[in-house]
Amino acid sequence: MNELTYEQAMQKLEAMAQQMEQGKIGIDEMAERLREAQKLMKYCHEKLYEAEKNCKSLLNIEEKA
Amino acid sequence: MNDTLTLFELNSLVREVIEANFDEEYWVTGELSDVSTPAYGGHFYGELVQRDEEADRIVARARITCWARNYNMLRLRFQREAGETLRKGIQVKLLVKVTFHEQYSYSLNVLDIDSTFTLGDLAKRRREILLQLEKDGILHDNQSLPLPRLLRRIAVISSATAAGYGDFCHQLEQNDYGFHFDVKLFPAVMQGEQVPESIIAALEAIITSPRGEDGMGLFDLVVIIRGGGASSDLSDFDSYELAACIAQYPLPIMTGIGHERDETVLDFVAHTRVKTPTAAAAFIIEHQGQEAALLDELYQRITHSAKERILRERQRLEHQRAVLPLLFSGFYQKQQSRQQLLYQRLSAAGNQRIEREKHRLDLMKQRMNSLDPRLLLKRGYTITTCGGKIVRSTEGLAEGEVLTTQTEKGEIYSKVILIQNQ
Repeated sequence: MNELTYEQAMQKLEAMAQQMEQGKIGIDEMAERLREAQKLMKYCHEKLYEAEKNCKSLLNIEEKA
Repeated sequence: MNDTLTLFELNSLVREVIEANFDEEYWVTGELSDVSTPAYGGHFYGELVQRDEEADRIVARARITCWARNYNMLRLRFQREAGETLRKGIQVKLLVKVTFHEQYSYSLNVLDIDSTFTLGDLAKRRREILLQLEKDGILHDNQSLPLPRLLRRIAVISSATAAGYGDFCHQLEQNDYGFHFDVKLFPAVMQGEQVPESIIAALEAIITSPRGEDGMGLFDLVVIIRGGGASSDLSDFDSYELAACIAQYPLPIMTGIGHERDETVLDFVAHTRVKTPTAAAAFIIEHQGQEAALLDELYQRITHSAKERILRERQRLEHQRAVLPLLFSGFYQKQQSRQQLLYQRLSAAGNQRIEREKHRLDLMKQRMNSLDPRLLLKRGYTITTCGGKIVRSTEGLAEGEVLTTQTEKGEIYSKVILIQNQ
């Protein structure tokens, strides 16, 4: 998963949500898929947070300069 | 007849005849030849000839004299009016008196000279040369050369001792701008018959000069100047060979040999003509000055536009810097809500699915329940089996067989007594 970009991870999540909404996921694999979705959500959230942190620090440096 | 005369007696007779028959004054035209220029105050002696143009041979010849007093007056006037000296090779119209002297024989005593005739002849010669140059298609060749933007390396053709050369150099050195010029003199004869040949040799020396370190020729411009002071013979410059050489010369040529009033053929073929050596120097300085002003203006324009550009870019950058955090925070919020939405969708979809399955299970349970046989037993029905098989008809049964009947509470065992089919 570490090789996924933020956008790729988001697209995967989107696809998962669509599949679940359309009932294409069997009950047996439901829990497994939800677990996977949770992991992707966490990954995306971390990436976004990281990006925000970096940007804020860069913008801070810029303003001080 | 004892008529033997001494030469003096014979010459005296001739003189008497001539004086009796030629007592008038005559205007006569011819070419000056074998001129002896006297020291100041001396008499003028020379020869007047007439040539057969086609055969190029002399068809008439006469000795001419001009007495000192008359000569000094005529010489000055002729120089002033014709821009020429009384020298070999020029065409003249003279007012003469025919004389014969026992000792010096036949000669023409010059009383007056018609400057306009000589002027006309020189002009005619110049016209012919110019026509020939035009016919050859080279008349304006030098003039059509572009004048280099910088006139710094200047070849001068002049006589080294001439005051004009000194004036030229002095003027260049003293320019107000502080420009430096590299001037090199190529000495040439600037008066007399050798003028064309000498100037052509100097022009050749200039063009064959070794090239500079930059691979360029050594010179930007050639200036031909004639020493000021004493009036010289302008017609020395009226040579087809010299004019053709200048017209076809690869460097622009400037002349400063002109008389205030007259022109030579060179003035028509040279790139630029000015009157005097100082005027030539002034032209060069002015040209450099204009170029320097242009450079200055260009410099101003470049620096101005560079400053403008930097200012504009700085403003753009400032704007970007102000906008960037806003853009980022917009992006961040959008991504956050995108994530939230996805999360909601995912959990809603999961919950919904679970609920649906629960419902399905419930229904199944109900169906299952409704099918439970115990419910029938409760309502008073019984189930009869024979040998473990449910009895649905009389078929296969035989009298005396044992049946098991299941009720809600307990089982009944019985024997078949009678089978009666319906």
